[in-house]
Amino acid sequence: MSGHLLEVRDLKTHFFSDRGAIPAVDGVSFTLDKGQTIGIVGESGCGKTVMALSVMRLIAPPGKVVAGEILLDGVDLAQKSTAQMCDIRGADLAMIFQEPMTSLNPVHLVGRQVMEAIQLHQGLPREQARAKALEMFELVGIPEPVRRLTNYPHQLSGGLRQRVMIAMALSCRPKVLIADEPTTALDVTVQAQILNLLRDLQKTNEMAIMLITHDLGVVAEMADQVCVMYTGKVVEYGGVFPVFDNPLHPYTHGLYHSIPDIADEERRRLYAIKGVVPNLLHMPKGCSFAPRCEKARPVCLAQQPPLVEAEPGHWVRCWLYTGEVSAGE
Amino acid sequence: MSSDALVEVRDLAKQFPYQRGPFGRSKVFVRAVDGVSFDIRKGETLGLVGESGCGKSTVGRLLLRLLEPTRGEVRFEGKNIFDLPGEELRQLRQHMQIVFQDPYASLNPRLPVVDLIAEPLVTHQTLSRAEKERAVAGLMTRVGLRPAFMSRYPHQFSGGQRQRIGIARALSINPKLVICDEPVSALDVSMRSQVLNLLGDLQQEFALTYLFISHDLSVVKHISNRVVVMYLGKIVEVGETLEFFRHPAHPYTQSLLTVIPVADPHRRERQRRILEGDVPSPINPPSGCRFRTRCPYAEARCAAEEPVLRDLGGGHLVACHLE
Repeated sequence: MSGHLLEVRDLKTHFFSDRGAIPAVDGVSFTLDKGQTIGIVGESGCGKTVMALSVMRLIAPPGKVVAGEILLDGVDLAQKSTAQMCDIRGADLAMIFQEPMTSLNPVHLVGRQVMEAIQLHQGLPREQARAKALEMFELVGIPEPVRRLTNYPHQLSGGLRQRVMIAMALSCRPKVLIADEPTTALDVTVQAQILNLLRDLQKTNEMAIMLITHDLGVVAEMADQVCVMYTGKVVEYGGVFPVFDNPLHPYTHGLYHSIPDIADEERRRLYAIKGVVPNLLHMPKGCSFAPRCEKARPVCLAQQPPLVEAEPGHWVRCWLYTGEVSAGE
Repeated sequence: MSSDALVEVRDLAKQFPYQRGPFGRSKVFVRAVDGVSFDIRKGETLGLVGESGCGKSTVGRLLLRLLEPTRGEVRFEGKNIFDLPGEELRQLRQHMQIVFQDPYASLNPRLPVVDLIAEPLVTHQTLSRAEKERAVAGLMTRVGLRPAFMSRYPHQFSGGQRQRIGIARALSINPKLVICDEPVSALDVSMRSQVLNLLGDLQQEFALTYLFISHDLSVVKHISNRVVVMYLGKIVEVGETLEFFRHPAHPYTQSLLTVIPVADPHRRERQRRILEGDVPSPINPPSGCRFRTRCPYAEARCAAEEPVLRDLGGGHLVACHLE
């Protein structure tokens, strides 16, 4: 069909509260190919985690996926039954989280937890599952893997716990790995180890990675494509080089210039995006970034901008770029 | 040392007792800070960097005497704060304040902002209600909050705004030294730059001295005049910011600088020196140089002999045997 490994089309996830529906994810579309990494960037509350959980079909009430398609190898996951999703999760789609301590069961041995995933999805007997778990521990670089199989999560450091999570996630060779802030809770030296591990495993497995992070540095190091989210919407989408070399959306531009550059020797004042993210219950009528935008014009406050292709493969949701495009067409 | 030092830290150490074994029968010690010496100069921002568990926050708390040291001295304007009796210590604390990392945990949720900001002020001075409100309104305006919100409670503010409340509170009694313990780590990128700019402006306006504790080297580079790097309770390197980032001398620092993610995809293929393993336990740290278990250049001498800080020139100090 489309030929993409994962294609998300116009995904909308809303949370229903007493005060109205909150559009946490509001029409997100992107594609991800085999062996590629897409970086999903945005600040707290922009909907990046809810989007990932929606793809995994892990949204529970009061949240609901209200529209959109999630095509994995051309098959729509939104149409799958709960039982079918249980087979897909872990086998084709796997996810790792920010805080490995809260995602591992504290009262079971880590080896047992990895074996459980293998037994469940591959139907292997106990001994073979154990051998496979050991192989995974070796693959993700856990020192003394035999001993570590019989450790509890609290006996491991943060970096080792994240390696266990990665071992579990990759044990069934998923086609897509969703990594939600996988290194945010870790120190820089350990972060470097984990990112390196993901890069190496991706090369050997040809797995696709959806990397969710607030850290533009991590995206620049890892991603092929970048998708910048703000208030549940994609505001900029494109290859990592065009997006970083020439950030088009005022929000992306602002984010990029508000982080101190380690290579910068003059100490210039940091750019600061004024104001705060709007409340999703009281969204501005026009562009959701307009109240904070220095380039906002009357049209920005009145009407929501469409996502337009400002240059080939580089999309932006901003009125600044609509004129040239419509004139050119 | 010199007269321009506001704070002189000498051989400061803190061990925390830790019970182990059945019924906590064997007592061991976590050597969180294990003999550090440095100065904080008047008007500078000194960046204190290191990974979790290196002892940087413990140093910050010792400097305010929120913790009692196992040994060592902290001299504030020449006076050792650990020798001062209660009332004198209270007087001295007017000159030193702290801004904490987590603006959610460090503000009392039951107090309105006016009382939160005025708390240090009320502790040290007698004020009428009108005077207090006037002072708080001035502080709120200065840190970019609307004084009209002074009767609101912390949960009605965003993370960035709460950190501004924490900063206003620290500034309320005109301190000389502000210890910033990871003040922007819990904030989103767009809030982070607002708060960093605010800290810079306030420093100029009120001639503040900062000890800026952080794990983020790019933030430290941006804000500091000098940098101190800690590893497992010890200082491994000290230097002027520019010199330090141009010519990092300690293998640990060199590695850190290559692995920080850079927001430039053109530099993703650069050589990285990724350290192996984890930081060893501070209960039983390695002999000799504490970094040797992860150091690519470690030799026999590193296990036998503990390196001391030596001057490479221009106040650039490094604790490493390698030339």
